[in-house]
Amino acid sequence: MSVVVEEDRIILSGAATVEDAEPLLAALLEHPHHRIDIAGLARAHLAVVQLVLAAGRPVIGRPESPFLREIAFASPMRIKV
Amino acid sequence: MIRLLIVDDSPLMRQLLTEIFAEAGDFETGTARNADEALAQLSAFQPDVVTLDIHMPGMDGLACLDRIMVERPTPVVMLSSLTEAGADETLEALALGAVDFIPKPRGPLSIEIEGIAATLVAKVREAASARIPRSARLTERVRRRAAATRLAGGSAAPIRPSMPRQAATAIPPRRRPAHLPSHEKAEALSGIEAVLVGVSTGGPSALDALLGPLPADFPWPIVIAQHMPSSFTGPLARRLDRGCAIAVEEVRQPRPLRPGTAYIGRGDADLIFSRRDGVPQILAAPMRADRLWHPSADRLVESARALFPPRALVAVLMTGMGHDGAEAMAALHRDGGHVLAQDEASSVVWGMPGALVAAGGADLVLPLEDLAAQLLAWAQG
Amino acid sequence: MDELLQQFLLEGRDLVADAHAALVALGRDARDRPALDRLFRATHTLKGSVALFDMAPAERLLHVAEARLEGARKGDGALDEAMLDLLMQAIDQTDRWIDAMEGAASLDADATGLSDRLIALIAGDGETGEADLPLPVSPPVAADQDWIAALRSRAELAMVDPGRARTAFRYTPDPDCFFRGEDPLSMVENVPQLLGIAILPAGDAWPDLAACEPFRCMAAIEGLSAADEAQVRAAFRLAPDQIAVAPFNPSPAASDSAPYATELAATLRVEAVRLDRLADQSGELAVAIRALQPIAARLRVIDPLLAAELRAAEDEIARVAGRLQRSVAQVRLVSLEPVLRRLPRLAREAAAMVDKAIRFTIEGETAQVDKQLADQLFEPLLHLVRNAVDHGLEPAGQRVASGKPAEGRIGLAVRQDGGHISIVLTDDGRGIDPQAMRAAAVAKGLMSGEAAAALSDAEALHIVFLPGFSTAESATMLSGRGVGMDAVRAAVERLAGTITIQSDVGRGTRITLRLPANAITTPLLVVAAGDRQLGVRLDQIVETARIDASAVQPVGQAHACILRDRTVPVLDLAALLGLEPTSGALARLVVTDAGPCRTALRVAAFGERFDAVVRESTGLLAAMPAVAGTAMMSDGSVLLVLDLPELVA
Repeated sequence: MSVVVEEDRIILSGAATVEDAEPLLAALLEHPHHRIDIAGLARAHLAVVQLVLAAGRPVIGRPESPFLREIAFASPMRIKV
Repeated sequence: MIRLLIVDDSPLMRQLLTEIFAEAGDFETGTARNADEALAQLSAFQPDVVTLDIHMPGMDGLACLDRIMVERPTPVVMLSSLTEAGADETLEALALGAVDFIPKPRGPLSIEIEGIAATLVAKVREAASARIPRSARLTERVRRRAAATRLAGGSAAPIRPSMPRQAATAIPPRRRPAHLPSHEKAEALSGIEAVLVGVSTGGPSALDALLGPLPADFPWPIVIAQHMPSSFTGPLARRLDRGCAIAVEEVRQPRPLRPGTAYIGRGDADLIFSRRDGVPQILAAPMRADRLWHPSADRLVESARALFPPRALVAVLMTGMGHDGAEAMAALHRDGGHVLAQDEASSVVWGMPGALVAAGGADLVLPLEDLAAQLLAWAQG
Repeated sequence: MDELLQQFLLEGRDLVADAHAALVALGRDARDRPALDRLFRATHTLKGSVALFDMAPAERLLHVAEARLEGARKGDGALDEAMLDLLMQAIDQTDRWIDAMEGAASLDADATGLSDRLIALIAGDGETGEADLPLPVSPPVAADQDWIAALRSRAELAMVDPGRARTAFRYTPDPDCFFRGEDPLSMVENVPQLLGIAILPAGDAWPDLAACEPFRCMAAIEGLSAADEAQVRAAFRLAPDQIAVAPFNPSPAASDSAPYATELAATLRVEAVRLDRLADQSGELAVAIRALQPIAARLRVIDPLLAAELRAAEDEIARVAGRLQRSVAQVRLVSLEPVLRRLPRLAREAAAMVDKAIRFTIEGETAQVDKQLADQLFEPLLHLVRNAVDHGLEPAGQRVASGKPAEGRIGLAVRQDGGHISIVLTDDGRGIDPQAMRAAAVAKGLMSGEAAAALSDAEALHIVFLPGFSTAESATMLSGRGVGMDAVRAAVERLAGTITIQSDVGRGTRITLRLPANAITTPLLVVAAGDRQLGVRLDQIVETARIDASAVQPVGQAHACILRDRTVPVLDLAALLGLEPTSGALARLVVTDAGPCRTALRVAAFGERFDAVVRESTGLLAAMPAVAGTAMMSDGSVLLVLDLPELVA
């Protein structure tokens, strides 16, 4: 997957592997006010998901994967922007 | 055919190993149940390579190894348990001249053995044509033994496992005053961020020779990818730390880079650079499946290059089977980095440095003894 | 890999024996360095061996034991008695697990608990040796109710329909798990019928991002599933120590209902007691069916056709009952090996106590016998083995002087022939001198000089089985223990077996036990003595004979007859029981080898033969001499079963 930093958000897309935790953490630390966009996320390793949750930031976008949408991110996605 | 002597007091283990190597097809195996049988088989069976268990009744594996190195120096691969205690004994064995070690097969047989059999066979096959590491040569060993005996109160006892472990670590490794290779008066390099080291088979002794001569105020951090299981890298770092002037530590948690410190990546993981608050740090990362060896020297070099320009990096590729590190270091060399390769004569296995040299990726190809001197020359001019 | 398992079973047991010997030596002298080294090596190798099989609890336990021993070798404190005892327990436990691997190819469900308990004791004050083997992360099971209560109030799970949820789980992955290539989330995704999860900080709260390590797992996952507990557990089979699973009921009040049955296994474990009961009852069934016979006989007078139908039905029922009985007997058949295999270890232990070295060989130990037999054979065999070690084998010096190897040989051979097994215990010790036996028996007042002199050499050897007799020249720790040879004989005979001794002075002794392999039901012959019906075990009968009463000749005060060219003493059963002696022109004889020599019992009549469960006599009957037990007859009456060996002794 890729961790892309845009103007106001960190975009996670594709299949997030354990390796992606490092660039994600670096991006989160570097941009403390960016939201996290998971619309394009297809799969996510717990290493990535736990950082999203630990960051406690608004999560935007509805991933296509029902598991991510309704189960893994069910709770942070309810914190609406 | 490779003539392999399997020395193990457990019939189960002998049978398992015999089966694994029989399967490989190019081995002719003999077995010995204890050290005495093993020593007798040295001349009777004339093995090309020996696998040796450490714990045996009577003369134990380390004492047996010691005798093999005197009576008929033969490449020996230790059969080690992957525990901390096992690591200490294994490192002692490597210091005594064992070429390599393989983890004792474990795990439910049907499931796991197939996976590790390939590794076992590859390592032993490689070891069969390895050189006995230099530190194991007679003078070194006699000196070690003499020192051990002195510490043990003057008794002329043969080396025993409980005693030389402390004794040997109490002896500073052989220190040659670092001197420059006569043919080269190197210019000092400036702006170096890190020295990257890739090393595998024969590594512990080679690292001793590389790090031992460096002074505590060596100006650069040294980051080492030594292929090893996870439980071995901690004991290795502690052992080196005791014998070296520079600090040697294992990387388990993320560490900011400090000069005069050598970082050994935890085994069964990779080692990568990252930046936090603008400060470069080194951290262990889960192994990437597309690499064969871990910690991966290639990945280490690549991740360093994401942070630093090539000119700010020194890379050293040392003894080891395979070719890890060769590709990334050759690329580093092409792009202006500084790259050293250990030479063939001083390598236990000239796989990795050989691949680097073949790719034309080394600035200098040096014997083990001269690598530290070259680093010092680059550091001090 | 079967061969490796076989190899492991052999080697593992040798190592256990080795460790035992070393522990015994350390028990005598805690500073015995070679013994410590030996124990360490045995433990170490054993650990390496169990690691090759699915025996993780054993591996962990031995790992901790090894660490402790390594500490002792480095001088971190000697092993005190309590620790030696714990190590002994660890080795014994491993021994039992080796049995389990052989029997069920897996450890019992309680292995982890047993292992953890011993680990805690051996490791002592929280020091668990090295933590680089996966030691059990204390599973969150203790706080069962806590996490379930917390789970009920998780906002993340609020939208799960509580009516559908059947199972709750809490998964606390090892912080290092990412380095092993695990993704806990994908494991959770594979939980069947997953309804919802909550990804929570493993600690109290998520740490600051700045303090986070990207590759360290800091989460725990709780969830609910509509699948049952076993299915949920199966999804986490790779991380059993990191998972808590519990049935989930919508209302907390009902949450303490009985747990679900755990997973089905191809092998069903049944309490031995229940199996015994089943065997008893199947035996009783066979007997009860016989009650139909007299009914059919009476019916024949009234309605022959109906009687024939009844007979046919009875035959059919009896056939089925017979098959049932055989099946039950099969189920109860177990290998003798677990029993016999403990003997070498105990023998070595015994030998070590009296400073003798022995070599113990076993053959044929895989013979299958009824469970009852296997269970009850251990004690008597152990006593025989100890006797051989203690009294049979000479001290090494004496052995060498007489040209024997210093190491004493003890052999145990088991042979199965048809329905019987014979167990032959041999030693190459000093043997038993019949003359000395006679003298000792007289000296102890067990028999008169004449009686002793009248015994053949072979018979004299059997004096050893007389109550109160012992050949020990000096009391040792071993001989002071447990039962005497008379009790051994009694035990063997309770198992419907016989015991005999042969000996060659100076060369050794051979003790032979012959036992029925299947002891559930016993074939009985009903005989009459006076007006009584009595049962005699068919397996104790060599033959029955009808001879002319005049062929029974008085010999001194006794009687004898010639049977198959042998003179056989004849005893009158009725007279033995204090009844009116049997008379008549025809002498009906039951010939038996149950006593010291072949003997014929004269009875009034032979009755039917049938199989019955012989119950050991209890209460009043136990006090009656010559009664081995009781069996139920076809008419429901109780038949006394004679104890022939005692009767003719």
